[in-house]
Amino acid sequence: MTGAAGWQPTACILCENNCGLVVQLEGRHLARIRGDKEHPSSQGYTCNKALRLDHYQNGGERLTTPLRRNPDGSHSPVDWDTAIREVADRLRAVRREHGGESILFYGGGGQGNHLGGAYQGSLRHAVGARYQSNALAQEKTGEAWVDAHLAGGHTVGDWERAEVAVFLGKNPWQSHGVPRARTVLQQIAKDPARTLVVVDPVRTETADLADHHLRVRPGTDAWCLAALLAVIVQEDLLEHGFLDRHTTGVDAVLPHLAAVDVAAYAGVCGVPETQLREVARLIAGAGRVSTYEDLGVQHSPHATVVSYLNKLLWLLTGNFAKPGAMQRHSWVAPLAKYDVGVRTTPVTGARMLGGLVPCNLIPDEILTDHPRRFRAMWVDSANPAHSLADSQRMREAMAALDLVVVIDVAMTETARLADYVLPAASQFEKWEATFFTTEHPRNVFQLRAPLLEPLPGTLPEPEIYSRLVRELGVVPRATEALLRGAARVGRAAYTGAFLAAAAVDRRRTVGLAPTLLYDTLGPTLPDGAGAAAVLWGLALRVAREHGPGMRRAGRHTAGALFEAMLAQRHGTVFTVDEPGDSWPSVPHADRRIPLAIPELLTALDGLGSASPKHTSAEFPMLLAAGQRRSFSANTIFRTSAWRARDDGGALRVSPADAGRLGLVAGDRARVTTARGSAEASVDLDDRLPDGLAALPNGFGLDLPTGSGDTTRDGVALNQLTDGARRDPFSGSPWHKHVPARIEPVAGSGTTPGA
Amino acid sequence: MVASAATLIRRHGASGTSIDRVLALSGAPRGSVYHHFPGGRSQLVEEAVRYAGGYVADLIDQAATTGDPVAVVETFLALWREQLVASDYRAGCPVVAVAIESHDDAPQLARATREVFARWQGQLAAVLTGRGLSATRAHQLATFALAAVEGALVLSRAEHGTHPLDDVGTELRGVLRAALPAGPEEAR
Repeated sequence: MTGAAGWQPTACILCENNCGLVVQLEGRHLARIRGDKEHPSSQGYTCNKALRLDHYQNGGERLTTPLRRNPDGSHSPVDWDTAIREVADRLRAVRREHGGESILFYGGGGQGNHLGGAYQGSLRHAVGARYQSNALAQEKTGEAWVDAHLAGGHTVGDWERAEVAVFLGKNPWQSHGVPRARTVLQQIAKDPARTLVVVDPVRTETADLADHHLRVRPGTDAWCLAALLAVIVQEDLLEHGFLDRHTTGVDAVLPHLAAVDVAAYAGVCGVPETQLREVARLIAGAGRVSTYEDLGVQHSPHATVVSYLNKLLWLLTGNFAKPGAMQRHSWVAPLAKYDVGVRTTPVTGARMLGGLVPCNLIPDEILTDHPRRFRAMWVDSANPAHSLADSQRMREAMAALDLVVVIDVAMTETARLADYVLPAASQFEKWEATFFTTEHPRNVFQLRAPLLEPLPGTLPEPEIYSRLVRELGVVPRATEALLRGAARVGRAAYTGAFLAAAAVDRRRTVGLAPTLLYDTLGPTLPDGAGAAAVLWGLALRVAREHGPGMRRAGRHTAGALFEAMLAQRHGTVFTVDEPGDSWPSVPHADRRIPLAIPELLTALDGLGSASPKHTSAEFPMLLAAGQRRSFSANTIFRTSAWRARDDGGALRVSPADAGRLGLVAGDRARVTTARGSAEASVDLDDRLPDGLAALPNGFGLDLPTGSGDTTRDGVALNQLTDGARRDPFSGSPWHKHVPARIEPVAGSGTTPGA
Repeated sequence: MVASAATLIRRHGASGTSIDRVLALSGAPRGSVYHHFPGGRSQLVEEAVRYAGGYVADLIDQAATTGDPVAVVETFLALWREQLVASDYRAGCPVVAVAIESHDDAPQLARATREVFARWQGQLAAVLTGRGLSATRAHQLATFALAAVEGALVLSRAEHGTHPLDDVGTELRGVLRAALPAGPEEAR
């Protein structure tokens, strides 16, 4: 699929926007990278980070053979056949002794690395696993649970048409989340008819563009939103027509907001009451309002309450299912389960919002003598020993397991703790797909062809899962033969055979569907795109769930959509959504949104007597652990060389705090929390409020030095964070609100890290 | 009991499906038959026909969500092919088995088979009209497809092989594709 002058289409894999890229190769180097003007969503846009992706492909030290752990903790190479056989044996043994539900599956893809993770489903079925988790379960599951109660699924803003755009704990200038974020933000900021509202304790780059920056005190977003809603209720700025026609239970909600003391709540959150009233009237008076909540609030106290209040803000003002407002949307596959009724974890009985084990609970589900504790962990393209709160405890938990298997491209901090490490091909060496598909109204999916051959010794994940499932001996031979035969006849015949097989033996056919598709349909796909086989099932899903949108995008059958996904390497518009599509997606009686969530209303009432203060004499500051910056990204860059500046990942403090602490720019400082301590160099940042310091995300990896040992690249944040400080509903950690002490380090040359 | 009756009808026809055989296959106690089926054997047969009809209709509904009439016919074909092979060519379509026998004493059986066939035809016709065919043409093609598949099923059973189903599948694909408005995006 080489295009003009050798430019090949692919995508950025650093954040969920997955901007389309075109790349020119020199040998195995991504020598030149540009935004892809033919990509239907990003249209040539990228940020600076995408242009550094060669550091992902070639910067780190790759794994080139499966590894088995020795009794002394070191690892030795084994060949693939041995690794597959032994891993299957070990999984069988855990299943025999403790049941398949004792195997926890974690991860299954990064920001663009989801296609392989889709095949994990077959292995979960084959071993009888019942529990899964991934990074969403420390970020987004609270919001998903609130969404499940209200509109019934994920909602997005319509940023191109919104009259008022509200960002809560969200700085799209740096962290994107909105396609072509900087362009869209500037368009809103320049248009006198449109208004940008930012709720954030930090004067972010987005706040610089904002018409209204509600500069809350850290951790008081809930009071700010409750006050905004209280103004709307108390001044009767509600959209009564919408509430009458489209909702139920509004009478159960309004008294809780009518009771809010706006002046007192303004005092708690530190935003002038006059500004709160002005913004509340603005939101209520506008015809088209979209909002976006992100980690700034989701990693802070009261996150799930904030999520509820955010959604009430657009629901009580009628901003749903119309242009410029919030929408349900199509997707190729939903990221989480949007269920109100949720399962609980086996040991602690914690609620699994989104169907996922809350990340912060994982150590508690292992470090116990409870008979149903997890005994094994399967980790795919994830690094929980580094990325989950309180790393020390997470590592202790992993050490207590009978079996840890890691699939990754490099020897990550988690892989070092594994019994087996299975080396995967990189994201540019295999068929991959971008998968978030949350764009509105034109929703885009992109299948990415490999730019390079897999590094020798590595395998793409679909092949690893196929081999394991085969080794476990659970593949129904007759079904497989039938599907192979049908695949040779054609796609429609294959569809018929698969649906018939699923009708006859639903549990096994659906359970093993990913690897069944890979093994039977995969070999018939063009250009060796066998790993795209799972898209056949997803195309059927899109046709079933989003038929009208699919047809508006010009695809009349599931088969036609599948062909387009395979053929259009710059990305496919798979649905064109319309605001009216949102209503049929609402799963509640009469398509009405039930507004009352009793336990969150109780929590809302509790704000009146709750203290927003979590600092103490011992830890008088707050640390935002994980600030997104120009040169911070997820940890798939296993090198520090990609950063043009902020190489060490500076600790940023306000100038006043620096003065008080006796620090100047370039000094070393020690950050200490209840869980750990680390050193960083200091940078002054007048965007930060006094009392709040910030460290960037994506640092703290233990990178090989070339002489057999490793060196730590900046601060590993989760040495400092505390899994016990978490949201009572979702279990999400308070990473943006870590009580801390900051002290100058006398002299220099102190070893970084704890 | 109803599922067991449907299985027996597929193998032995309606007249060969006795209460004794149903009890033997399902393991249900004899008293339960007249409790659940006061109409006796003919009621059991009727419910078996409607049960099988609903099972296949659910599957057709799933296939219909693809929007592709060929996929619907392929699903229908594949179901019978799978059942035929799994039963070593001993089990056919229970609705056909009941329809080809005369039921002078039980007119409700003829009515049940007629309604099941009409439902399947209607489902396929709806997908065809969804792709732009006239109601008349869609109905004719749906009749043609249903007759061809059910006929092929009888031939395959007689022949103890899937060739009739495969041949009919090939021809039906061609006929349906030719009848549909040209779509450049369609594959095979």
